[in-house]
Amino acid sequence: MAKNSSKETKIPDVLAYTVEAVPGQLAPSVASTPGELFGSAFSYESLGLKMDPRTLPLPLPKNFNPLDTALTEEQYASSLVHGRSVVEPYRHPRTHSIPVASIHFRSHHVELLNLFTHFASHAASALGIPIGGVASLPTKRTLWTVPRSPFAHKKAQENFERKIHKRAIKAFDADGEVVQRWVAYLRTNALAGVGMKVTTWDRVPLGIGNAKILKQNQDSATNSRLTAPNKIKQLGEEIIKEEQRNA
Amino acid sequence: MPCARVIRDIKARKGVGANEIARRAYLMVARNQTLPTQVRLHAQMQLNTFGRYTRPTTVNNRCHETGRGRGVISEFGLSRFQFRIKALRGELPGVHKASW
Repeated sequence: MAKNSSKETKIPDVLAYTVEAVPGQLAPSVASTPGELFGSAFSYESLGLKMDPRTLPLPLPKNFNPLDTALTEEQYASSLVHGRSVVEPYRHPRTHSIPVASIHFRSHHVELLNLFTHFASHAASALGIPIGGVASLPTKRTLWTVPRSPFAHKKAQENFERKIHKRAIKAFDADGEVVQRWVAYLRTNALAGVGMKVTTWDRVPLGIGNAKILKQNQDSATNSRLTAPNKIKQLGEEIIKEEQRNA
Repeated sequence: MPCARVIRDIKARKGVGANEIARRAYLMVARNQTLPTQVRLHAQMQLNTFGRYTRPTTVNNRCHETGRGRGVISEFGLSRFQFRIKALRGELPGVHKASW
């Protein structure tokens, strides 16, 4: 019994998402001949397709590796099966465990958060980004107690609350551009009612700190007259001069 | 039509914004103990010539709906009763009745 349960909780293999096509048989077999479905003059080349849609998804070799460059983009894309979103996403193994991004999600509604973190995890899986699991961060609960009446009657009060549920996903090892794609995809498909805060860590050349400080100093030197504290100081000195002249 | 107190608050906010730098400059001179007393006294007298609605203490957060100046929940900018009405109507995102 214990053996079985450990098998179920195992992280699914990438092959779990691929279906091996049986030659001569379509997965959703409604029309048996292309003539029935598309008319007798059907040819996939005429539609601008490079592959015959009836042969998709392509069978993948048993020792399939998503990072294998021998597999073409088309072959890889055609191996994806619709409906895999109902299962947990495949988690790519980390290569170096270097954190590259951390996304925080926050919402008032747990269901929306669960949906969107599931979506984000699947997107990361499809882009080949190794991610940690969805971590639950502490829920922020704000309480208000106000009198029920507009005036007096302090003894009759009412309580209100607002909960902010939070989740976090960490990404590792992926290239910065891939992470940017992932974030852009999540932003374009953002879910109403779910906020997102993205932190990314980039690799920068040595000595960037000094360069930044130098630039900041230059900027502050050129903008010194514009800041409010400097304006106050300047005006104050003028006042002192004038008063001392009058005295 | 907003009540007179709201208009007064708007006036104060505008006045404070317009005179902030000049006021702070005079204040800096008046509070500087290294300066001669005469200079500081003059600066203090100059401070007094500014109008009432240039002082930052005259600005008071008021309810957006009713203009009430007390019991304002700053996060929503509403007085406590308006907050209750809106929360019960579901107009404040995520806010609902609590019990424990």
